[in-house]
Amino acid sequence: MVMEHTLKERLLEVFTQHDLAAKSAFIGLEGFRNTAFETFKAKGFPGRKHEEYRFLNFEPLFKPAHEIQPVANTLKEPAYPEWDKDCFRIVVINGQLIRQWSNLDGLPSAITIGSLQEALEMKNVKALAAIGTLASNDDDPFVALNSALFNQGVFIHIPDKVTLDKPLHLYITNQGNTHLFTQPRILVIAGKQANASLIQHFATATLPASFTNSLCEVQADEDANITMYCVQNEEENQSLVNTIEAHISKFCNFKTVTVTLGGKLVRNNLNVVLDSAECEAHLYGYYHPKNQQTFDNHTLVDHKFPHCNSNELYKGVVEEGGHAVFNGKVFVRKDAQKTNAFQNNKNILLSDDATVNTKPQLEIYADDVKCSHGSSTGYLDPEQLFYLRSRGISLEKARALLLKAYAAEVLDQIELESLHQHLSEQIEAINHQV
Amino acid sequence: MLKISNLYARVEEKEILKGFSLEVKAGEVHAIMGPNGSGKSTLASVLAGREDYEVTAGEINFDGKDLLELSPEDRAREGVFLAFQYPVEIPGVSITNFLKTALSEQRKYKGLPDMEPKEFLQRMKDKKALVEIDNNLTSRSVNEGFSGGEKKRNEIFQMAMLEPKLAILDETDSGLDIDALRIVANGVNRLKTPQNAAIVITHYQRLLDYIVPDFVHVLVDGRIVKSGGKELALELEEKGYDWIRKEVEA
Repeated sequence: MVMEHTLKERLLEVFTQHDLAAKSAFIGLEGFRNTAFETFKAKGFPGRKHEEYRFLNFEPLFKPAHEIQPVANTLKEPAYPEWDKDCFRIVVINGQLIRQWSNLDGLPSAITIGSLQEALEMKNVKALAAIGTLASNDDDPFVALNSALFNQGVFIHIPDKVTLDKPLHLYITNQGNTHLFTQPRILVIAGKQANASLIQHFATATLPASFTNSLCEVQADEDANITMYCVQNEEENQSLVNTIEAHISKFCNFKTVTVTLGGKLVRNNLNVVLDSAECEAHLYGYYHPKNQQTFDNHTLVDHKFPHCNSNELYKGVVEEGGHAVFNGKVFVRKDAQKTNAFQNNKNILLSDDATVNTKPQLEIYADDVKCSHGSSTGYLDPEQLFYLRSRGISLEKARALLLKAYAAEVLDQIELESLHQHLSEQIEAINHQV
Repeated sequence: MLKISNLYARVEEKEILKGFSLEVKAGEVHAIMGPNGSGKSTLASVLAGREDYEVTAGEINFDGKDLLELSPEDRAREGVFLAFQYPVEIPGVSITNFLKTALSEQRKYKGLPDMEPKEFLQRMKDKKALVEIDNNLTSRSVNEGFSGGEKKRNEIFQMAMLEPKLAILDETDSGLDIDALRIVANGVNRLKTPQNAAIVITHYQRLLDYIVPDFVHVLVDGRIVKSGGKELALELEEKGYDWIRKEVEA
């Protein structure tokens, strides 16, 4: 494969040229990066025969030469959305934390937010203990590549019993004049009874077609309550692989809401490991691909211990020329008795020329559990449309009303009112164009 | 107001209406009765503009307009209202939002501005009282989780809100107990004015004890075979539809 050859070679060149390991004062990081790169070298980019990536074709995306560790000299401060005013903010450009545009005024002083590279170099105990133990290089070549090449990254530590009283807006974007291939990385450690919500916001615009390989690792200690919103609103030529790996402990409540409205190829790998008894995870997603866009959600919920709950709802609207993929794995391991695990994926096709590949996978090895999964794909209900029209509502408005109601089931999970409103309005506007 | 002439309609290649004619004037209530499969619900569907029904011949004139040329939404905007036999559940769309949208669309068609929020709320309040609808019901999703009676009352509530010229009640009595039936009928009666009209489609005479029609028509095999005053309904109740069939055949 052409892509494998050239991009891999280029990556190899970059990796050795930069001599990243030598630059790092942190001794352990050298080995960490080298091992990761060796893993990536052995695996390469996933081709279409790779079971987990079979619906995606990366090859054309990497045809043009990409700048691999872009150092932009002239960065511009991005324009933030309206809801940003209700949040703390950090800005990540080309994988690097940009401090001067971050807004952490009033952040509880116990909370650490800084460069991950620095935290490791300074031998931060929490960061050192967690790095490399959450997302596994062996499981996914994109994780390995991110581990080898991430530039600085972000480290967030919310100590025991500390509450982040406003959501943290992680504004993640790329800037430059050419095709970029960037590796943002975020490590979140939430202590016992910590309480936080994070908004991972991908917003690359006005750039030659670029590729972001993002990794976010979350470790939630006992009784922590963590909400993650993932807002994907990139331009139609931007591609993204976003891996979230969360390991949650006893009594934790972990919730994610992933809303994908922009980008060319967007792949979400959301892996949640319920790493102790009596914790719960809630996963929600909404996506609307159209016109040559592919939005792919792969989720994994891993029940390892008894008395845990998980609930998953992903809903999509697929417009003409769009392609949606949903693959939801739920593992209920032998010891995970008394598990409640529910999963549902629903799709509405707005055209005959819209594609959905959906695959729920439930693997249960325990015998005293309540689990279910379901998936449905269809068109808007003609009976509902007729009912609305019979009251004087136009066909376009009737469609928009039904689609809005359909999205609301997921969007209503967003507790930050201004973000909820912003996304509702954006989705409404998209539906009116249909 | 409404003139249906020699209407033929079919669904999935099956002819259901075969030369149906009816004239309804403002201020009148017409009951259409008939056995199962005679075409009662087809008539309601054709009038409201359901797309899977194909009209093969005949005309429907509504206040000077060719009704068959109009989309379902334009028929509603012209003042036709169908109370559904089986109201559809629409999760996630509240009754309030639904009616606000419907009213706004109907007013826009007539060149009127949106109703003031205060006026809208007042109308909601008045009409809820009229059909004895529970206050909380309107903040819920349209028909979702409603009982059979609540669904039918919600139909009449919508009718009250939209104030149509012509209301078509399609088997509104089916599935209602006597109390619900009384409430529904009461609502319909109180909405009656000399300017509007109603077509009440029913299998049983029961509803007509409460909504007293000016005319009763008997529909058999796709056309009206007998018309009369309200006493015809009683006769039907007593003698059954076979009596009409025999009379027609004779």
